Order: sequence, then C-alpha cells, then structure tokens
Amino acid sequence: MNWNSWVPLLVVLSSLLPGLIIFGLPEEKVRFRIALNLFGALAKLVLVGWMLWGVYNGYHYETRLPLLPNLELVLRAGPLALLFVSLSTILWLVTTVYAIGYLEDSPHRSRFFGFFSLCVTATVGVALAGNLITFLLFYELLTLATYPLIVHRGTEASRQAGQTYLRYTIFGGALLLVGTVWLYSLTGSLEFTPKGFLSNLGEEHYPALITIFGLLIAGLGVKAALFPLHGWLPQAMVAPAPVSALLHAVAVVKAGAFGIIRVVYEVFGVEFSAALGVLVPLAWLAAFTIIYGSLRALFQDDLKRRLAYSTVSQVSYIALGVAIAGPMATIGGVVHLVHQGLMKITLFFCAGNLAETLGIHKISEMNGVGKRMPWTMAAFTIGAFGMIGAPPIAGFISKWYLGLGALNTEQSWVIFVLAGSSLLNAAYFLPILHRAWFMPLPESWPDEELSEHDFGNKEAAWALLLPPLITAAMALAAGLLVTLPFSPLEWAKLISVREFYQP
Amino acid sequence: MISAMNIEFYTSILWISVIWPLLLSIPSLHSRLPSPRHLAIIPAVLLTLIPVDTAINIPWLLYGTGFAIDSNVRWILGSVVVTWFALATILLPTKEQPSLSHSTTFYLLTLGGSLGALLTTDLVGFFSFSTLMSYGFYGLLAQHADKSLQRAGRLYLIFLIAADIALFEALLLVAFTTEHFQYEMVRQTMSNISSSSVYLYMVLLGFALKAGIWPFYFWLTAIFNSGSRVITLLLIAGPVTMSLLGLLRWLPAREDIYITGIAMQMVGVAAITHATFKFFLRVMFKQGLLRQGTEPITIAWLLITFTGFFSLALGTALLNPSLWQQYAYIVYPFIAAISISITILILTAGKTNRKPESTDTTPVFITNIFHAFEKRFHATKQLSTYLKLRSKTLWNNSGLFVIRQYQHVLSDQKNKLFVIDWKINITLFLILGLVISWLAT
Repeated sequence: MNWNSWVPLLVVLSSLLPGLIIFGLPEEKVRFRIALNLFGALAKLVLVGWMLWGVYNGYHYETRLPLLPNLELVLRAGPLALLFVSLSTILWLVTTVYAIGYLEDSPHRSRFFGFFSLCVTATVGVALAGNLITFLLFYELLTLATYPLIVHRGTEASRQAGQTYLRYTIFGGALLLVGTVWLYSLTGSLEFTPKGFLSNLGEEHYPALITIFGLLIAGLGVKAALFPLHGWLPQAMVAPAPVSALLHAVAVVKAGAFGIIRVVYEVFGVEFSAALGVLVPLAWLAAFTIIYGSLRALFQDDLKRRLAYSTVSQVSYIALGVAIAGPMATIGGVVHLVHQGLMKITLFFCAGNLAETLGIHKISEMNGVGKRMPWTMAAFTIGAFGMIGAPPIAGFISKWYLGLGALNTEQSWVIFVLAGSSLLNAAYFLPILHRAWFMPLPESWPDEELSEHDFGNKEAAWALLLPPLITAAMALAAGLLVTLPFSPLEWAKLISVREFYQP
Repeated sequence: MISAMNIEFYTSILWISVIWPLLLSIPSLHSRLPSPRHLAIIPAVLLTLIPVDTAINIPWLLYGTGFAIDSNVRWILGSVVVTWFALATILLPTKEQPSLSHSTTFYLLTLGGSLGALLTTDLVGFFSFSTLMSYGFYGLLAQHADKSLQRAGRLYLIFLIAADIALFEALLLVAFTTEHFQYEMVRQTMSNISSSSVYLYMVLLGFALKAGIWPFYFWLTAIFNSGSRVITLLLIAGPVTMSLLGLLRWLPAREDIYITGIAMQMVGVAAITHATFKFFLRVMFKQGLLRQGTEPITIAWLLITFTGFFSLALGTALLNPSLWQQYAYIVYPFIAAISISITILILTAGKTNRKPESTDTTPVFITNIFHAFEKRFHATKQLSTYLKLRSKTLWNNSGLFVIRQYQHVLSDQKNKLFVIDWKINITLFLILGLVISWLAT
C-alpha cells in the first residue's frame, strides 16, 4: 500500500480517533477536548485539501480492507465523494466552533462531542464509500451516532423525537439492506461504477431491478426526507441547534440525498435507470415533496420547524436534479448538495443564536430582532434569500441549472415547480425578514440572557456569531464567484463531465 | 491620445462606482463617515464626467459579467446621478432626524443596485443588481413610519416577486439558447429563434410589473399617494428608470411579432389615455393647479403617461425593427428626460410630506394578503379554528367582509365607484383601438 491508499482511511480516522478519546475524557477537561476537536477538524481539512488537489490533477486515492468473503470495505476519493467530504469537513469545523460556544457550561459535553465526532466519521465514510456495502455500514453508523445527539437534552420531547427518528431510520436501513442483499444476489457485485453496473442484466430481471430501485430509494428517502418518509425531521427539531445544523446541512439528510445520487448514477446508471422507467416517478415524487414541504413550512410558527419543512422541500431539489437526468440537471442537483448545506446551516446557526441570546423560538416573537441582533439577522437574510433563489446567492445557481436541465431534457413542467417553490419560499421567508427588520421592538424578549463572553454590541458570543457569518459569506461567495476553479459549481461540472456523462 | 494610465483610472472608477456604495452600506462603516450618501455617489459623478467609452470585464464574477459606459448609458447615468444627488441632499440629517443610519443601508443598497444594473453589460448582472436594488427599495418602504407607504411596499413586494420569477424564466430561456449573456448577443440570438415568444412575454411582463407600466401601476400610485418626496425620488432613480432600461436592453427585435407590437402600442395608448384623463381630472376639478401646487398623485399619472409613450415606442420597435434601429438612440435621452423631469417636478412640488387627500385606489385586499396569510396560518390548526377565524374576520369587518372587498375593488376611499371612471376610460380605449386598427389598415 502506498501513501495514496492510506489517505481516505486517514480522513475517516481523523474524526474517529479524537471522538473515541473524547468519550473517555472527564467533563472538566474543557481545553483538551476543544483542542482535540479542533485538531481533528483541521487535520481532516488538510487531508481533504490534499485529496482535492490530487483528484483535480488525476491522482487516485483508494483504501481497500477485507470485510467479508468477496466483499471489501472500500474508501475511494472520486470527484463526487470529495464534493460531499469537503462540505462535511468544512462545515464540521464551523459547527464544532459553534457547538463549543453553544454548549458552554452545559452538562454531558464529552458525550456530546464524542458522538458529534462519530457522526462526522460516519458522514465521511458515507461520502467516501466505494461500494454499496461500505455505504450501508457507515449509513447505519450514522443512524446510531445521531440518535444520542437528538436525545441529548434528555427531555420527554427529545426522547420521543429520538424514538421517532430511530423508527424511521431503522426501517429505512432495513429497506436499504434488503435492496443491497437482493442486488448482490443478482449481480455478485456492489462496486460503485461511474455508469452503473446493471445494464448488462437481461430483461427478465427488470421487474426485480425496479423493485430493488424502489427499496433502495425508499431506504435512502427516509434520511433524505422524501414524502411520505419525512415525518422524523420536524420532530427532531428538539435537538440542540448544532445538532439541527448537522442533521440538515452536513450529515443525515445529505447522506440520504447523496445515496440517491450514488444509486441512480453509480449503481443503476442514469441511462439504464431511464430505460427502466424509474426516474419519472422519482422526479414526480421529488417535485411533490418540494411543493409539499414548502406548503407545510408556510403554516409553522416555530422557527426551527419552519426551517425543517424548508429542508424537506430543498433537499428534494437534489433528487429532482438526479431524476431529470441530464448533464445540466445533474450539475444543479449535485451543486445543491453543497449550496443547500451552506444556506441551511446558516439559518440554523442563526435560529440557535436567537434562542440562546433572547429565547426566541417562534416567528411571532421575532419582531424587531434585526435591530437587536443585526449581524445574526444579516446572515439569516443572506441564507433566506439564497433559499428563495435570489441572485447572486448560491441557491440561484442551483435553480438556474435545475431549470436549464429541465429545458434541455424537455421537461418544462419542472420550471413551474421551481417557480412555485420560489414563490412559496418567498412567502414563508420574507415575512420572517419583514418582522425581524421592520416591525417595532417589543417591550421585552422571551428570555434574554446575555453571555459573559459578549463583545461590542452584545449580540452573542463570538463562537456563536462567527460561524453563521462565515457560512453566509460562503453562500454568497458560492454564487458570486461561481466560475472560479474549485467553486462548488466548477466541481459539480467536473463530476458531470468526468464521471456521469463522460463520452 | 488617451494614455494607458488614464484607461486604468477610468476602468477603476467604473467598477468602484458600483462597489463603493455597496461597501458603504455596511452599517459599521457608513455610521463612521460624514455624509455617506454624498460619498457614495462621488465615483458615479466622476464617471459621468469621463469623456470616453470605458469597459471592464470581470470573468470571475457571476457568469463572467462586466461593466461598461458609453454615450447611451451616460445619458441615463447623468439623470440618475442628479436624482441621487438631490436625494442625498434632502436626506441630510436634521435636528429632527439626527440619525438616519437605519435607512442609509437600504438607501445605499438601492443606489449600488441601480448603478450596477445601469453599468453591467449582461443579463445576469442586470438581473442580480436590479434584484438587489428592488429589495433595497422595499426595505426603504417597509421601514418608513407611514402606514400607507408600508402598505404600498407590500404591494410592491408582491409585484416584485412575480416580476423576478418571470425574468428568471426569461433568463433560463436565454441560457437554453446561448452561452453569451451580453445584451447585443442576446438581442440577436433571441431575434433569430422561433421559440422566443415566451421569452418576449416574460420580459414584457417582468419589466412592466417592475416599472409600474399600465395596467400594473397600482403600487406606483400608492407610493406617490403617500406623499413622501424622498421615496418618490428613489422610485424614479431606481426601479422605474432601471426597469425601462431593462426593457430596452432585454427585448429582442423580430419581424414576426406583429400582434405583440400592436398589443404594446394599445397598452401604451390606454396608459396615456387613462393617465392623462386622471391627470387633467385631478388638476382641473380637484386640485386647482395654480392655487395649491402640484399634488404627488398627479405626478404619478404624468409618469404613467410617460411610460405609456415608452410602451408605444416599444410596440413600434417590435412592429418595425429597422425603423427602430434608426431611431433607437433617442430612447436613452427620452428615459433620461423622463427621470429628470419627474425629479424636477417632485422637487418643485413643495413640501409634500403632508398626508395627501385620500385618493388611493389600490385594491386593499391585495395588500392585506400578508396579514390575512399570517393570521390564517397561526390560527389554522384545525377546521373549527378556521371557522372561528372566518367568523372573527366577518365580525371584525362589521359582518360585511365580502361586500367590503368588492367595495374596495370598485371604489376609491370616498366610496365613489371608480367603475364610473373606468366606463369612460374603457370607451376611450376602445375608440383608440379602433382608430389604430383603422390607421394600421
């Protein structure tokens, strides 16, 4: 084994090892825990940066370890994997800083940060998985690692949310397992291949393949919050803000959406999937989820629940891009994986800041909060406008490519879905901004607790304020500097050209 | 001879004109500077004085946008700079208003957006900057203390969202057809393909909504009716001028869009007729022009008349592109003239911050959508709550909710049915249509 074959494994270990050490740390070892967390996040960032440069220049990074007879644990850093790994790594670093500020002086921090690291380990494993069995292993590890984070507060509501989450995700995992085993029995292979590995199967297997596709998509659709498998996501909002950010932007829903991309492009192959006729129903399901999620979001007064339903809607853009099946739509779907992450994590960080500093949980309590917390609300505004698809924020680029992809593949109905979704996004985000910026300040806030670590205008502690500002700036930069090399869009184009639509 | 150093200086001024106001919009920056509004406009003033055409490409920004100034743009820039300068002067902090920092951010965002839209060389850049300008302008409306202005702002926002969606669809159609978004390239490309009708309709709809062209003028009259001189000036310098410019830049010129050309001309004639009628009606019978000075709403009707002329000209352009190309250069001074003359009218109209005589014909039910939405969403947990809400709404409105909505649509606030006015207008409109048809044959 040479150095390049170790790098993917090191990327996984860079969060796993600190996580395992953190589990054993006493609560009072605050500095050591923070140092370990940040060291792991920075080490991962360096390793991923190294791989990004290498893959861009044609190097190959792959780790193969024996797992079962004829089945190996494969970690491979292709362009698609690296897109997701980069997103997870960057946002993990930012979320770690935020979580350090958010959980200051709260109990069970070693447990929290241990599972937090484990959660990112699983996410990176999902991203780097080179075959379906490796993907499945890390996918299940992700379920188990996120459950303790959801129930971290230990309240009755959080326990119930955790149970709902477990029920949904274990059911999804079981479907995925059945689909994987069935697929292996049919083909004898589970290796992800750029144009899929099923197109050589005879027509007599088509009904079975359609069923397997349904099983895999349903299994992944639970985490991707596709309708009607989305029920766990709004309930999981009882979790602390860093966990919500992690669930919505980095780990869980992204793992589901990423899995859908893998299954369509690298298991079935997009052309074979189209020939099987499974993409059209997936496109309709995604379109329905987009509208449904937005409509449900409109009715929520709880800020995090509104954001949760917004996630239900927005993550389906990725599935829609995949299902439209064309180079442009694929770029739109794949790049939205990153863009949605940047925008949504900003919104959740801001929601966390509002709750932590002023005790604001409901939209109806947000009157005039922009005057009290201008930086937080400025970041929120960028995130919200990005979600609506206003130029030049990242969401505009995603919608641009999805719309273009729809026109290229002569599926004009998608344009109406996108327009309707933009309209609904505006309808549920703009009233929040209006309240925050233009309504008069209330006489008192629900629960104002100024932290000892506040600076300047006493908006929030720096550890809480910087992460949303950084991610908002990134969401803006992803839209403004769209043609720069290594921008998410350029990387998505590379994926489309090098992997999915190579001549 | 223009030296290379001069060219570098000119191009620097060009992009600084756009970036500088945006940079200054950061509250912690502009609050530390004296007169940030004047400071923000200085590069644009310098740019107006630069005697040569200048351009700069910024390949890493958006899809490779750029900024440029030529003689046509200089006309508009000149007029806009005058308006912005007047605004900056009016908005100097006074004893009554020592701090205007809340509105300064929105003001500078509107300024930066409008300058960006004016100077950018491609459709994506124009769309991005004009969106920024529009939301900045909405911010100014929404943070105003005047309730009627806030209501006008909400109405404007609804029109704005619809317009942006229409223009986004138009942009997608361009991207589907060509990879180049420069105005001239788009005009040529979209003129040569058969499927450009949808693009044409989207562009017409989008900018008509944004500019308040008849029949989408409700938000425009509502804003004028509020009587705020600052806001009306901003409206002229920002949304209206830039949207007219957008129409000019985005529209393709094709030979076979006869019906659309006729329709545009008819819209123009209807706008002129309706607005002129309203203008003279107000001046002669309600206002007493010489005694009381110009009322803001009359300026609005004058503006609608101008935009009617603009529609008429664009209709002619669609009918006869070759004729249009001969005389297109006049349109830029025409837009500049509209902007300047309306600015002068507003400035000379006297102090108009008084609450004007209530003449708002805005359908109130549209502007109430936001409140109705929120009320409903907070209350609709179950069906019975909906029924309760409905009965509550009926109760709140003296049990005559539905009747009142019709009343709002059909009457002005004096309960005088403006359907009566409409009868006259529609008759005139039909007569004019007949005359045009007769002339066309």
